Amino acid sequence: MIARQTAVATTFAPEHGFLVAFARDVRLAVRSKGEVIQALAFFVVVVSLFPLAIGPESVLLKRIAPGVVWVAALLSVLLTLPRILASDYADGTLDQLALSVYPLPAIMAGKIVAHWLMAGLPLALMSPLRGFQFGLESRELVVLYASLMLGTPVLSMIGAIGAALTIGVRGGSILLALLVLPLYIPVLIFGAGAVEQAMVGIDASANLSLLGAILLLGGLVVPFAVAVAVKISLD
Amino acid sequence: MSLYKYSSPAVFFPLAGKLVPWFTVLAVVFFVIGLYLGLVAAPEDFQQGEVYRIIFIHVPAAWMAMFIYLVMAMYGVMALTFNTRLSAMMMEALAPTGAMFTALALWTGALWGKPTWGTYWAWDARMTSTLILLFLYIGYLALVTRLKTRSVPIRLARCWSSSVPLMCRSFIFPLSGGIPCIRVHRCR
Repeated sequence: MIARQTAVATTFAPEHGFLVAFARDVRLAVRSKGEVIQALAFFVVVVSLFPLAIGPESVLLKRIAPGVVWVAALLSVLLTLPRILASDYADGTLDQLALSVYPLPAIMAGKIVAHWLMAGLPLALMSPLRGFQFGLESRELVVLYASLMLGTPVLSMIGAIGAALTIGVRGGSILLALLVLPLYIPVLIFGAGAVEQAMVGIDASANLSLLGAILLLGGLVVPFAVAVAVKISLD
Repeated sequence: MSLYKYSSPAVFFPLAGKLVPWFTVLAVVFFVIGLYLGLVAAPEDFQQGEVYRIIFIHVPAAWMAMFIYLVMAMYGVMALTFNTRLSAMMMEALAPTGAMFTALALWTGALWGKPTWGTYWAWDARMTSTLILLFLYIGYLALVTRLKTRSVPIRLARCWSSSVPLMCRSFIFPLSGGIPCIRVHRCR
């Protein structure tokens, strides 16, 4: 009897809820690879539009490279945000998740990490190549990569809050952009700022540390905020 | 003797309805006195001439833009912790005024900047953070307006929920270039 109770207790532990939600979202994303690849292609296309619009002047292109890569990454993540919750809401899965025995914050944390793995990580992995396109040096490419590795999870987190608040709202995607983009500004400033500091030869660790601090703070607070927002949105 | 009874919308609404005309009269009186003192009674500035008179509108507007945001964040915290419906309503009611003052601060700032700095707009931290503040107000208003299309009880719950991003914002906003709450204003 006691053994059975402990078995139940461990099965319904928060980390298990995290893993269930994480594994489910990753599996869904892997089975529809198109969406992941499309978001990545969007990122590549947007970044490549700038040299066409501005002209192939290498000094100017190198100067704007950090900002361009970061803004493109931001828009690409923004496009994928509805994927976190909207389809789950549409087919009723979200109601089931909210009713499940696992704590909702753990489930939401799993979904956010899965979203980052499918939307943010590919961008970060792809970014050195895009920076190279704009003539960044290897040291600057490393900083660009590091800033995106630290910054894209924050984009997923903040985006998840926005997605949870706009569940089931008509025309939600534009509203989502309006809500989320101003909140992305600090990440954008520190992310692009880190690369710019590397470009002028200053140690970029201050900006990267601030990005890391935002990431840690977000990891602590955001799953709970998203869970509250989801619960209220489902009422 | 209990002021807490006014935290119930059913008690507060009739009181607010009775007070609105009085506050309107007071607002008009103070508006006229303030404008007279600022635009007529105050002497001309020896350095900037008549242009400086814009600070009598610009500076209070910029203060109110930030102060109202702070008050909204406070109501958001109260709505979340005590689950009081009136706090969420107050927050919602403050947003348009805050957005108006932010727009007014940006507009009068631009009008002041042209003759004094020679440009309507510069990407300086104070201006940029005020612009972002306006975006935040607009985002909040858009969310609240969209949610209003739903039925009333859900709307109230949703107002409550919209305090979540508001709180996050008030933490994130000071990070985004310039510290708006304790900034030194640009009157010389």
